[in-house]
Amino acid sequence: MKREHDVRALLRWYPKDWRDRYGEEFVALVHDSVGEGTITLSLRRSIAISGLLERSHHSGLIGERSTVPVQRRTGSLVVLVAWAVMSVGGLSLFKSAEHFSNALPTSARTVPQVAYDVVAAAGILGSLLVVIGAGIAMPALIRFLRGGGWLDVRNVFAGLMLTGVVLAGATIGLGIWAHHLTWAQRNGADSLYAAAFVLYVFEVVVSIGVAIRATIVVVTKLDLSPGVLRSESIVALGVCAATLAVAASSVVWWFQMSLHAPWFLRGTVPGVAVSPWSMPMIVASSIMLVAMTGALFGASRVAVSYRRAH
Amino acid sequence: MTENQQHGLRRPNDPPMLLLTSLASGPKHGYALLKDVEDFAGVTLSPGTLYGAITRLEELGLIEPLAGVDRRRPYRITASGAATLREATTQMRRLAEVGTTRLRLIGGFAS
Repeated sequence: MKREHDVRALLRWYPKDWRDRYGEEFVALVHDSVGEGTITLSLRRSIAISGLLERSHHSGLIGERSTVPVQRRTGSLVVLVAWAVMSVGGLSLFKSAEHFSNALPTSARTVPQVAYDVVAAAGILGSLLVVIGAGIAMPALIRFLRGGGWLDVRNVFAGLMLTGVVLAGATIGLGIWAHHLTWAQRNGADSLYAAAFVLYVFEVVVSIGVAIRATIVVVTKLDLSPGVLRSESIVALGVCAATLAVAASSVVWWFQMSLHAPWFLRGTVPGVAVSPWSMPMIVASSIMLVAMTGALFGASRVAVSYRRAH
Repeated sequence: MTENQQHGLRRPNDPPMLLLTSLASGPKHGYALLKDVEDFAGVTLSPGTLYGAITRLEELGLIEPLAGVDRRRPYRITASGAATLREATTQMRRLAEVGTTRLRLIGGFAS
């Protein structure tokens, strides 16, 4: 009985459609293969990898086994997820770059200022495109909810609301606290505030994760017409371009700051010769690199879906 | 890339190739397929790999399920699957003949 439960638990690596079609015979095969023995770790790993591969094919993430609409929708969602990740990287950059122009000699301000402005403009543009994408899908969402879909997604919405409320509370609370602190206390001198800020960043990341999950769960249930999917995929390509612009401009900004004011990046005394490799910038750049790779991958899936359609 | 290459029938030990070869001798369910492949090719497929190949071959219409016994469902090769296997084995035979001939020329193949 425990074995049966164990094998069925492993089946959860596979998509539901696959489980409905092959689940019973797969369970029988694992029983026949293992006999009286135990399900080894390598067998578990093998089933997990096969299941994830099947899920990836099924969702249109890899290969060409899914339909064109599914592949197009998945590609667009990957770009959206990449944009959410890029937002975290972009916000880290903005936090690190506060008052950066004061640290630069007047003659060296133009290029980093332009790069910073491009990051801001691309960030606003990308966010606007995401809002437009959400607007395009709104009629399908309303149809879905009115058609009884609410019961399918209410738990997802509840989770989203809960994290939203917690995040709003944390933002207001931290904001009030920060208002009563000096600049030095806000930037590491007050260890209690620093710990709270780390927790706040964690909450932001969790909230973004919950929002991404909710979006994926809901969007994959929507009945999107070919026209809506085409519009969404064009929006996704625009978001991908914004992601690339943010990443490229951030690199230019970082390079310029490391040339003219590396001490600013390290938070040390002006004029001191230091390495520009500051931890916050390395973390922000790594996040942006991940986001850029994801956006390019998603955009490539969208592009391939157009090639397949012709 | 040829159609067979897209089907995962490039090499003799590709799982879809092994499954089609096994089913060419008659319908078999999952465990019987695993054992047969192990016997004739010396390859042990994991359940995940086996069902990955079954899923793909069924989607392509190269194999089809029969009525199951208990929870075990046998599969059989379709006419299209037989044609695909024939084409793949012909290509492999041609490659084997060219390889053998060239090895003889350099004296690297005794028989």
